[in-house]
Amino acid sequence: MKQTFLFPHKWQKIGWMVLIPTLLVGLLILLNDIWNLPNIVSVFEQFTDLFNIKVPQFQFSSPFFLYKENNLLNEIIIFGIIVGSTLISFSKEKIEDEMISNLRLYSLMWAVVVHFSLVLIASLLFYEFDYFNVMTIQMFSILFLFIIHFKYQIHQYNKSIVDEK
Amino acid sequence: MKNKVKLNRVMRDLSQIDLAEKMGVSRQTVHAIESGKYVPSTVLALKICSIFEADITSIFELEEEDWK
Repeated sequence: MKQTFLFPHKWQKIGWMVLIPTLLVGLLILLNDIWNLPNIVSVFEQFTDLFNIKVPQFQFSSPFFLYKENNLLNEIIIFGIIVGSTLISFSKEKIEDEMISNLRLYSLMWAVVVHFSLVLIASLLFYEFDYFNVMTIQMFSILFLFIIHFKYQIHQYNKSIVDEK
Repeated sequence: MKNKVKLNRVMRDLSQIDLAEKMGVSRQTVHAIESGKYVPSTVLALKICSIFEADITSIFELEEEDWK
């Protein structure tokens, strides 16, 4: 059977190793509200401040291309969570057969529906900075929902075999 | 869709793992097919028939609700 592209199975372990520490640090930062860490590097910021208002940083020949002082921790956490959860989500299972492919598709559909339902609910319930915090979590939630649902489905199939024994 | 995969497997003295290996799928998939939780694709259904050397209608049978 022709299969869609998936990462090799062993990459799933790498995904967990990347996701768990970055997720823990990310939650720590979010829960303790410590976003304002000291700036340590200059990063290239594209298409920012189109009207060139309150930009103290060095301007590089055009108002569209600017350098800005920044702390890289947020970016590392975002990369870690997205790369980690993508590797977990889209790495092959030990035996990747058509039932697993079907489960994968079903879980992905479920995750999309639940994710956007949560976005709609959050849009009605949260405002201003609370909404920003919720949106920060929802940036990753589609992959989290997928992983939870997919792994739970596989667990249920494994459990049903054990129960029958 | 009803199937007689389990009956055919037991008649040929095959374990779920043996059948899974022959089909190139996981044991979970064999179990899910036998328990009716998963309806296999045409390719997989024909593989099962080929392994059992049986006609497809002798193993798989449509139910009333499949026509709805």
